[in-house]
Amino acid sequence: MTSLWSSGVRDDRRTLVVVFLRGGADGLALVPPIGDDAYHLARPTLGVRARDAIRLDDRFSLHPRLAPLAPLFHDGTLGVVHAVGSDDTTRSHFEAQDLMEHGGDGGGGWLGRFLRERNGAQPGALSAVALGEEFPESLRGAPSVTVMRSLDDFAVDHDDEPMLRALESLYDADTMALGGRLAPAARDTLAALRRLTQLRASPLRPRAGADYPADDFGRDLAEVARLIKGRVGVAVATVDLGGGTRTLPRAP
Amino acid sequence: MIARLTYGARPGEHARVRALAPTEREAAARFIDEQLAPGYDDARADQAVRRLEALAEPVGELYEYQPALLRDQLADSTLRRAVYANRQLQEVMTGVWSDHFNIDISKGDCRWLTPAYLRDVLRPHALGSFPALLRAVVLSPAMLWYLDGRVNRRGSPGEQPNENYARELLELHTLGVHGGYTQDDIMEVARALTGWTVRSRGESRFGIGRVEFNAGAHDDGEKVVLGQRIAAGGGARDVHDVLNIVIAHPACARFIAGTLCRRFIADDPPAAAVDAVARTFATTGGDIPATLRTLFATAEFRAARGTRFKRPFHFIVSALRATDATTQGGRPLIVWLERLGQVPFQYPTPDGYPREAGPWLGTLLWRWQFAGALVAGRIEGTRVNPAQLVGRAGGERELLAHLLGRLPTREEETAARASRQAIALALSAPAFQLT
Repeated sequence: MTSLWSSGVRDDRRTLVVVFLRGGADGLALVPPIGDDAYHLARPTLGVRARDAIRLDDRFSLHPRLAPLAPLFHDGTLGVVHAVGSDDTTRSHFEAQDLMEHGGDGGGGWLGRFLRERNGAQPGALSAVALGEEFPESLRGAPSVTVMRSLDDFAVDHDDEPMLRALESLYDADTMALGGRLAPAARDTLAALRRLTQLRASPLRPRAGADYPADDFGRDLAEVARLIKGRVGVAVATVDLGGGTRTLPRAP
Repeated sequence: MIARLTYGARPGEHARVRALAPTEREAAARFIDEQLAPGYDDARADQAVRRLEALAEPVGELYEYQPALLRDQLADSTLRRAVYANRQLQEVMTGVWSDHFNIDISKGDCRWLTPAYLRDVLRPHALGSFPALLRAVVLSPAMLWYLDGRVNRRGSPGEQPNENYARELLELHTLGVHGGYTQDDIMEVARALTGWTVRSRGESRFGIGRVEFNAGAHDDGEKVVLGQRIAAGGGARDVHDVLNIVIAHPACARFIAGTLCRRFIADDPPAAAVDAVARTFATTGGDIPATLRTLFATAEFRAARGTRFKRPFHFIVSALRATDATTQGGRPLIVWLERLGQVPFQYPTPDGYPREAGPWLGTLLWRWQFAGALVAGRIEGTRVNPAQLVGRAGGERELLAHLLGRLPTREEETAARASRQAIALALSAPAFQLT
């Protein structure tokens, strides 16, 4: 179970950003199997027409409105895992979501288990950040989960320098606590808090002219970018898109 | 002694305990007696959770509730009981057994069964007899779900039983991974446990959550567990025979003694203390209060004062107790447990939340933020009164002494003044993270 992610390719500076499409998506419209006759027979009117689709390979194509993703697929940045579902027959959207986020019937979310089991990781206070108001099930069981809309939600008491310096003096003086491990942990924490303070004071300057949409999703992604650039130890960030009854996308 | 048997001293508690006897030593002994006294009722704790009504429902009725509601109420009630209970050691030991016999509320029907597991299995037996506790765990609907015991049945010839629970029973619950058992023992235990199942949602409309022995699914042949024979035809008695064999094995006493010593003495406890505790466990047949008395009497326990890193749950509860906070719990408090990574019954794997300090060292940031938010009154439904705390303690220095559990050092007094927030600083200080 541990072999995949402890294979030596791990990079602590990298952040996994997971976007969950809460409303659900019709996989057969997103990535239709244009090369499969059964698809056209099953969807004679709703189906994406072959001449509109963006071809990926002999079998699969992209929905025309996903055309900007095609180059990402061809250069290997985008992968598609098709036709993955559960054998849950309740047709409950919530149970299906739970199953997806837990990665099966086990305990905890798949990201929570990943972060908990990650080899040699000293889980930091911001190792898992969920943008939004809700605690995502995928992070259930993680060593630490911060649910927030923005860095600006953080309390500021301990960012005031007198408090930080007072804490610094106490932890520095306590060199023996926990066999000498507490003082370095406090130094790391103080450094992280000071980086957060700086980060809050500096607005995000997107590179390469990236233009984040002015909706919640755009704001969440911009916040994730700010956290990643601030190097505050975010290993996983989750962002939700949609909810309720929205579906993506419809046939043209 | 108070801090180490409880989730932290409330204001005035030290004076109350000191007044129990003429000498400090006798007073400590009286306090241990008080905390280990037989009985189970705790009116103050019951009062604190009386509004969390779903948790009082019988097993079958729990299925009527939304899992998210039960999950949050369970975390909430565990927290509130820890804050308000007079029988503190009972809550502490309930926590110890919650880790030892871990269940994740997000797995399968545990979403509905876990509140009953805490209420009917762990808490009533927390300061009772280990064999009774173990039996209750093994035949609880929640554990039968969590470790797949409910699907462990006699198969067709050549088919193996589901060994999941048998393995964890030996490795995590009784003997420990070096407990001297073999893969054959695991398979024999699994055979002995075949047929025990729990009615689940979807299979049945009546008696959901009820534990049943299905004789037709039980492998009734002879078994040999840890060298001891269990005769064929034992049926539902097999599970009791297996547990008796396992509990009587010397590795069990050592393993449970080690678990208790890791909680109260050190991540890697001295062998002399573990030996002494294991001896009492073995000679009393797993009497938990007697075993704890031996532990609390060891020199190693006395010497370990101020060396254990509080885990997040302990930290939060002790901060609430130390500041005499009034709290209605709820989401505003639970989010802090989520940030600090220790919500009761949400650890995904059977080994339970780590006991040792290492995995928790990254939580200082949220501890400090919590201390600030608590004292500043920014946690909805939870209130402290800083001015009153100083007044009742008789001064800022006296309050620092109460919060830190000893007289403040000169550095601590200086830092408290410099921070301009003495209470938040004390709760954030190294001394408050340790017990």
